[in-house]
Amino acid sequence: MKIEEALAHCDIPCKIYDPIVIQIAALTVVRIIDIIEEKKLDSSKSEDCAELARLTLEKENQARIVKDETRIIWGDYFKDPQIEAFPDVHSLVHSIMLQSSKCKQSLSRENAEKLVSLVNEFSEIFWKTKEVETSRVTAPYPPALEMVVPNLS
Amino acid sequence: MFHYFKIKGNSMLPSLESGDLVMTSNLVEIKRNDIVVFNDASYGIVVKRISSLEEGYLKVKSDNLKTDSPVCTKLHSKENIIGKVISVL
Repeated sequence: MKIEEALAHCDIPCKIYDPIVIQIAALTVVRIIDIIEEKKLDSSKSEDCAELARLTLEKENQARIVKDETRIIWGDYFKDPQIEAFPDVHSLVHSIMLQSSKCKQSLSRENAEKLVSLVNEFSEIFWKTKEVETSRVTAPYPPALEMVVPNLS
Repeated sequence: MFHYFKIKGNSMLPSLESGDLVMTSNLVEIKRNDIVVFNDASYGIVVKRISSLEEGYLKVKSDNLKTDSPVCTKLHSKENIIGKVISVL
């Protein structure tokens, strides 16, 4: 009797997903807001204006990275098994989208800290889907906020 | 009608291990959460669990959350089902 093989297929084109990119971008948003606050830039001076424009542009860019990279992990990595295990991921991702936009629109540190908090939640869910334990540690660089890291051996 | 298949791959762990021999039947009712062997146009004969089932189509998923497969992202016709796994030998 000929017995055929049934493929328990597990392959994707890339497979490399890691929310650390999102976390660093969210922390950078906070850091840029802090730098703008610390520098006490004078908008009547052209040099200060140029620096403020540059910092603001980079804040926009980092908030956009948070949105883009979150959408990629949510859209490409999360499939039925992950979504069934973590059904709240949709509303969490939507909250990250809205909070990133708030950070683009303002210089509120509170908004940026909230974004970091939401991204940490997303990172924890991501690693749980891979059955990897995580820890909450203080980032070893400014703004030294709490971040989620995988416990890799 | 009954068929026998040898499992290849780890996407169905812990339910099915690579090398397991399974028996399928197309004489039983197919429901959500059943493990089925079916034909996929790109990958050939595949074994997965049914995640949703409606109007002649189904979506499938892997049991092993550490894995991923494009097979799980598309709709499959019920006509492509060879049989439901009814026994692991």
